[in-house]
Order: sequence, then structure tokens, then C-alpha cells
Amino acid sequence: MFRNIFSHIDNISIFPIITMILFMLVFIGVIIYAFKLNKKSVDYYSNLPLDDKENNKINLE
Amino acid sequence: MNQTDTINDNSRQLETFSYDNTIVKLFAFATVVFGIVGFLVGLIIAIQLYVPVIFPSLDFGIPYISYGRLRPLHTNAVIFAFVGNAIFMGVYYSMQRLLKTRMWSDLLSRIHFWGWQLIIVAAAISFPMGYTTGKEYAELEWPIDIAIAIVWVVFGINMIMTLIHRRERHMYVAIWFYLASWVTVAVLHIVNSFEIPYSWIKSYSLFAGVQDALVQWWYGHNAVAFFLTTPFLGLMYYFMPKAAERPVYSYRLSIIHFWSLIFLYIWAGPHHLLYSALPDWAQSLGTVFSVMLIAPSWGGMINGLLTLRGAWDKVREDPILKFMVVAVTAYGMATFEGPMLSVKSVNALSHFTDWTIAHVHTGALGWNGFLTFGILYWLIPRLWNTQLYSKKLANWHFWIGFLGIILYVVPLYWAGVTQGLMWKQFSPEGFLVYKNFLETVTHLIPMYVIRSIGGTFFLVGALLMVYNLIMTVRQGEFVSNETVKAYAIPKEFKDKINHRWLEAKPVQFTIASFVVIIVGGLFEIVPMQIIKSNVPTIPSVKPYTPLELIGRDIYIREGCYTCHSQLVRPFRSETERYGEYSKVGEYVYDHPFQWGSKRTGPDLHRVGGKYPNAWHYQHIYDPQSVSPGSIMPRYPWIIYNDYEIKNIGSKIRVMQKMGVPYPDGYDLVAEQDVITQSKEIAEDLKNSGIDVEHNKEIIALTAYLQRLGKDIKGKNNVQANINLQVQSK
Repeated sequence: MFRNIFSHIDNISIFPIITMILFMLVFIGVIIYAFKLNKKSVDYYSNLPLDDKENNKINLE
Repeated sequence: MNQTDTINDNSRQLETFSYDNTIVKLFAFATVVFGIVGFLVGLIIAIQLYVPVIFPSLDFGIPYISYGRLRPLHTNAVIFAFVGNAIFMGVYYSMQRLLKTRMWSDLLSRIHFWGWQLIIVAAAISFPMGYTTGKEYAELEWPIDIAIAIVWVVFGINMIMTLIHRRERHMYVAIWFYLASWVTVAVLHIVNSFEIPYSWIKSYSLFAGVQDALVQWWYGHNAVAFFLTTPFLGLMYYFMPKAAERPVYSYRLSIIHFWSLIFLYIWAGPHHLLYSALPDWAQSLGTVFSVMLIAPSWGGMINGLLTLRGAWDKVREDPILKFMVVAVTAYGMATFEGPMLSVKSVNALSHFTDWTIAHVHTGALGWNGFLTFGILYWLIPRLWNTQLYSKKLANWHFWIGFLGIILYVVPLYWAGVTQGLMWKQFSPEGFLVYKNFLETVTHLIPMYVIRSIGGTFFLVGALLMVYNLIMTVRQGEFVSNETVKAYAIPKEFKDKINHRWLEAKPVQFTIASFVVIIVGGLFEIVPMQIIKSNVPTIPSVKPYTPLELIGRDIYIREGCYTCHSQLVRPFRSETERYGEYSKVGEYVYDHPFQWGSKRTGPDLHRVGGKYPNAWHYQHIYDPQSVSPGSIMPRYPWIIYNDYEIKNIGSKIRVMQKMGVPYPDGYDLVAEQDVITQSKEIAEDLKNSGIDVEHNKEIIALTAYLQRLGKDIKGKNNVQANINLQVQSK
């Protein structure tokens, strides 16, 4: 089935364009996601490597 | 809504557990040992490039230390033994601490460790013996490939189970990099290792020619991406904040860095095949994605460097930070240079030259080497609960190593650009100025000498580190189980985790990474494999005769592809020098492809018929006898050894399985054809005054070399295939 689908694509050069659009979607999605994170969570996450002895606080959501 | 809170102690249970430091120690030990081995073998092959000019017989005619066999040993030792063990060292240390739990299974950790070291030992034995698949950085043969897959799965299970049993709700960004690397390397390794065995140790690649090339460089490029880069970025995101004692500059940036990097990286493979016989659309795809890669790579580099904000004064004092700063800077330089090299016009000059070698060593020595050294200097004193034995010595290591990198890469950039220009230089009359390829090589020998001095510096620096670390270990006391206390994740939070789909759940996260990277594979490789129009067939291209096949296996065994390409690019400077440029359809029976990636010697795709058989005999026995000043090693054993004929039937059967159109039942009679064709060549050599038995390896190798590139010339292939046609009737 796969073979039939692909061999009927005449213009294979559409692939890079589809890919580019896919990437832009992923990229924009990730940027929105990253900036929607609230500051307290981000501070907590980025400090994870530094407090590896005691788990004295926890993030609540 | 999100809010951070401190939980009352009595609402949760405080648990006591310990981190497994022994596994970290084991991997650290292996990192150091195989680092030295990898650097040393690299130095040996660097010297081998110019020593034959001075002492031609210094190789003692020993096959096991020949350049073509040691080069895969060097690359594999550095990538999979040195960097691999460094990754595992860092992962086992950081994961336990980031997740506040011991690794899920000590047994799996040990199986991972010993399994990996066993694979390295198998590589160290099989490469010098000449067992290679002939595909760069994937040279290990099929039984070892299976072992790698098993050990890799063990590592993955242990990681994911540890994640499931963690005490920290959030998965820190370093762990994302570990997971994505794990899943991608698994996919790459499995797909690129599709091969059919013809003996207990040897196999042929399932793919042929251009498809094999695309799969191989999809793999090869992403071995750089997902073995040398993303796991190390994970290490950077953990160990740099540790060493600088401050959090990463921007956690948001690290999220963007991660997703865009893994999405883009997987597509860039075809930039290794620019101006090759690969279809244009695939080449353009490689270029575009490579250029786009600058953005996330530099985002990551900047994030790493800015982690040192307000701590730059420490860099002056602290050798660990020095190593890390240079490592991240080298990462930035290499990831800027990479996209530049992917631009077709730059690639036209750089490809096949030492420029590529300089580029990868900026990455390997600078990024991987220096980050590993920095981590080792930070980690070892902590594991042994002591201070570093000598900061001064570590500073010495830094400066010697740094100078070593400069002395390594600068001459090679010079050599690369020089040779690239020499290959392309025409006289005003329109002739190649350096028609003799060798001229462009001997010109570079001073650069090769300086490069090996750079390599020596780097090695000496590393030896200083070994001494420093041994003394550190001796003054400290190893803490095999580091006892800590942490709260379990309360039940109600475990439920809440479900809402944070990606970062909170390792399995889903791994699947998401898998989807992101597999998109690239599907869009690039699947159409390539199934669309026939991508590989226009050429009717005059016929399968190799069995004797040529035997010769080809000798070519692969000796690693000829490490110095010779089989790909004439469509430039006038190349068609003038070598002949007609290479067509996709010429490679349809090449399992595996042998395009090569570096021309230390000339291209061989049109070498068939260029010289008489006697020339090849002399040249293999002693290259300098026919080509004075040549830096090619001697291959006396090929002259004396008998070729292996008894498994030719099995080779033919494997080829038939993969669609090579040998007639039915040909496997049973192939031996006769081998002997017939051998005798013809031996007879011809006799007429030139060389008395050699027909069953020697040189006969088979000559048969293969004389066949190369002849099929499309349309006249000479008749003789080579005459027996095949008889059989098919």
C-alpha cells in the first residue's frame, strides 16, 4: 500500500516544503509552550541540578 | 494554576536510599582507559600518513596494523568507547541525582557496563583482523551489531524504569536529551545494520548503492548528532550548572533548543552526499536543514556560555570551567562550520579533503574531549570524597590540550583548502595544473607532520590527567553508596502528573521524541527506497563476477574506502582527472556502497582499464615502486595470501536474495568462473613477466579494480561478464 501511495506522487520536491511547514508548526508550538510556563516553575526546574541532596520542596500544580 | 509550595513534612514520607556510585566509577574508569587508547591509535594513523615516505618498511608487512584497518578502530574507539563511556558515566551520575532515586536495577547497570566493554573488545579484535562492513562508524559486523542492540535495550529499560520510580516530579531537560538520544540511536543502529550474513561473522548490507549511501549517511550524520552531540548537551545542562554553581541561563531556551534540535538534526544527513549521485531533491533537503540547524545549536551554545554569567572571574581560576568554556565554544564553532560545509559551493571545495577531518576534530577534541575532561575533574574528587590532587596539573593539561587542538586543526584546514584548490586548478590552456594526484598529496605532508604533533600534545595532556586522577583517587576514599534522604512523590501528585503529558511521563516523552525523529526518516528514506525513478537503471551495468566479488571483499577488508572514493563528481576538474562522472545506476549491485568520504588517494570509480594488471600487482606490493613518493601503505600479504573461494556460493546466494540477478543455480557453479577468470589474469601477468599463482588475493583484487567504472563505457564489460551470460543460457 505504501508503495502505491508514494509512487503516485508526481512531484517529489513537495517533500521539503511539507517538512518545512511541519517544522515551523513544531517550532512555533514549542515557543508558545516555553513562554507559557510560569516563572516559578521555570525557576524550580532550572534549579533541579543544584539541589540533589534533599528533596525539601515540591512543585504543586 | 501553578504554584510552588513547601509541603509539610508529616504529609509525606521521608525515604532513605542511596545512589549507586560504583557504576559511575566503572564507566569513568573505562572512559579514561579508552580515551587514551583512542587518542593513541589516532596518533599512530596520523603518523602512518607520512612515515611511509621516510621509512617505507616500518610497517613490517603486518596486516593488523595497516592504516585501513586501524582507522575504523580509531573512529570507533573514540566515538563508542571514549565518548560512549563518558555519556554513560554522566547519565548514571546525573540521572540518579536529578530523579532522587537509585538506578532501577543494579544488575541491568552492570550488564550494560560489561556488555559495552565486551563489544569494545570485540571491535578491538575484529577491526585489525579485517572484519568490517565497510560502512563508516558502523563497521562492526553483524554478531556485534546484535550485541549492541541488546545492550542498548538493557540501558533503555534501566533508564525508563528509573524514571518511573523517581522521587522528583519534573524531568530536568538533561534527561530529555538522554531519552531522545537513546531512542534515536536505537532506530539509527537498527536500520543501518540491515544486513544479510554469508558467514558467522561476515555480511552484506541489505541496501545497495545510492540507497545504501543515503541510509548510511542518515546514520553517520546522526551518529554525530545523537551520540556525540545530544547526550553531551544533556551532560552540559547538568554539569555546567554544577561546576558554575548556578542554574542554566534560560530554561525556556533549553526547551526550544531541545525540540528544534532533535527535529532538524535527523534531516541533515544528505549534506554528506552533495554533488553525488543522490537525487537533487534529497541533496537540497540536506542543505536547507543543515543551515537551519545553526539556530538551535547556537541557542544551546549561548545557553551554556551564559550559564557562567557573573562567574567569569571563576573561569580564570578553575580549570574545570576552562575546559567547559572551550568545549562549548568548540561546539559553537563546529555547529557553525557544519552548516557552512553543507552549502553546495563550499562543499564543492571542502568535500573529500582534510577540511572535513579538521571539522570533526574541532568537535571531537574540543567539544567531546574537553567536556569529558571537565566532567572527570569535577566528578572524580566527589566520588572519592576528596579534593583534586593538583589544580596546577589540570591547568597544564588544559593549556597543552588546547594547544594540541590548535596544532591539530589549523594545519588541516590549511591542507584541506590547499588540496581542494589544487584539485581544481586549471592552466590558462585549459589543462589541470596538478594532473598527477600525488602532487597534491605530497604537498600536504608538512601539515600532516604538524597535525601529529598536535595530536601528541593532546595525548600528553590526557596522560597528565590520568596521573592527576590516579593521585586524587589514592588520597580519597571511594563512596560506593551515597546515602541520601528524599520524599516520595505523594499519591495526589502522582495523579496530577498525568496532566503534564510530556515532561512528566517518560514513556510518552520517549514516544514523542521518536515521532519527531522518525518523521525525518520517513520523508527522506522511504521514498528513496521505493520510488524506482530515483535510481534510473543502466542496461549495460551487470553484477560483479564472483572473482570480482571476492576482490571487492578484499577491498572492503583492507578499508580502502578510508582513503579512496568511488564517486566522480560532476565537475570539469573531476571529469578531466578521472573520467565520466558517476551515475546512480552504476551502483545498483554495490552491497555495500563504497563511495568513501575522504580522498587521501585518488578516486577509483574509473580506475578499471586505466593501468595494466601488472601495474596493480606492483602497486599493491609496493606503491612507491610505481608511484614514487606515494604515501599508500604496502600490502604484501595480498600478494602472498590465497583468496577464500569456498564460501563464494553462499555470497552469491545472499546477493540473489537481495535481488542481484545472478542466474538460478549460479551459486553452485560460481567457483568454476572464479578459476577461469583468475587464470586469465594470471596468464596476463605471466606475459608481463610476473609469475603468480592464480589463487592469490592479488588476482581477485585486480579483477575488481579493473572492473570499476567500466560498465558504462560499453565495450569492456563484455569480457568480464562473458561467463555469467554463458551460465544464464
